Amino acid sequence: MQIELTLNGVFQRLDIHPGETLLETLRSQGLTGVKLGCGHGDCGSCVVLWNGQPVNACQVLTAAVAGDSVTTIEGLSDLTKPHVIQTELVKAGAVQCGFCTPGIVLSAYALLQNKPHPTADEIKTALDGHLCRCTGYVKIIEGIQNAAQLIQDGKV
Amino acid sequence: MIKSVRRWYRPASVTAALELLSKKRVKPYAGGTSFQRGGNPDLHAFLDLRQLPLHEIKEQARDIEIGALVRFSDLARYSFPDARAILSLAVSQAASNTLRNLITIGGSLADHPAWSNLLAPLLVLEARIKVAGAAQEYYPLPQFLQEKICAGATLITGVHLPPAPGFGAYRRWARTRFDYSVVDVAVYLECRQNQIQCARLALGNLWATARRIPEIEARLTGRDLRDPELPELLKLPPVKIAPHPGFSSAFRLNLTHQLLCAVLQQIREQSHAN
Repeated sequence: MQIELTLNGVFQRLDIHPGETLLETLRSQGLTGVKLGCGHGDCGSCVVLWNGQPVNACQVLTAAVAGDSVTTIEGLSDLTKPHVIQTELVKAGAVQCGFCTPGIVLSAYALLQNKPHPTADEIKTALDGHLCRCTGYVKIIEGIQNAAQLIQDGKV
Repeated sequence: MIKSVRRWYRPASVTAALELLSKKRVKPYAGGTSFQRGGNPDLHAFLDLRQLPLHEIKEQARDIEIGALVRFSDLARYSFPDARAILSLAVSQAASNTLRNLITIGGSLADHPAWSNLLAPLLVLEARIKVAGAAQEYYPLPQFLQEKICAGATLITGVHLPPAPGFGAYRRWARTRFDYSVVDVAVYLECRQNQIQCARLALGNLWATARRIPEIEARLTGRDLRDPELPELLKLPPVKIAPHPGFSSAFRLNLTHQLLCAVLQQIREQSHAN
């Protein structure tokens, strides 16, 4: 079947299997920043933005997003101009293997769109579906807080 | 991938959806999370429900009707005017932020998975489930759970909550924030001058579905909320509970009592503040 959607800001018409997941579709389109971790909605490494809301791509069938907007980490920024959340996570020491990071960046991005001054608890709630085996989360929260401050100060 | 799926229908009305559901091997698709966690894979087609007008929470006089497609994230943010706020609290602690952006109240009621935290608060709030295509329009939740209303060409369209002017509290216990709860408790009390006029108490995750506990409710009714003997009255009668792979029944029953005592204390504080 064919569906139409806006993918990373670009209108796309895709041929898909009616039963395939959004994770499968995105990775087959070369958007490998969307990671297959657990495939069960537990780890958060496949999180993308669906109409601006962070969701687990492994839990969504692609046909369900027809007509909507999907943003992956590749749509947020590129290597020439990383998003402030990405740079602050790196500066805070919040990125080790990096596998969980794309999903976390997108959840953090969605959070800061709605709550420019999140508390640590609000950040933890926003990230409660993300597992990180490397860092222990403290630096991740710190990096997001730093990014929020820079955005608020108009320094980005 | 669900390989058996061959097509999608996108009905614009509940009537059209019911006609399509009468076909074999067609399932409604709301949030979709049931299908990726071992839901029924033997499907031919999905019914995309998104165009149906079931996305709103409506306040009508003092009643509230929640559309079946309202997501847990929206329910968690909703400011209920009275003790119905325990529903927001319960769903805000279910699954994860990203999954709450997918999970719908209708989908959770159709499958009532263990992680949804939905049933205990809905039981004490005396929710009624609105079902299209069924023998009656509204089902009290206990009847809905017992009679498996969702088989066949029926569709959950909403949840009706009557006013809840009393005090409510909800607690759950799980090993981690994201884990399924080992037990969850919901309590609703109506008091007049500290005398308990109405007591509703429900426990979840001790059995296949959540249950009210009429024996404890009867013990509490008519008692003074400040009575120091109330915590003793919260002990469960001798009941068999479903086994749990990680915790003994004795641990879980003791945990349940501790949570009920904590909830009672919380309600006492609410009452005192009022």
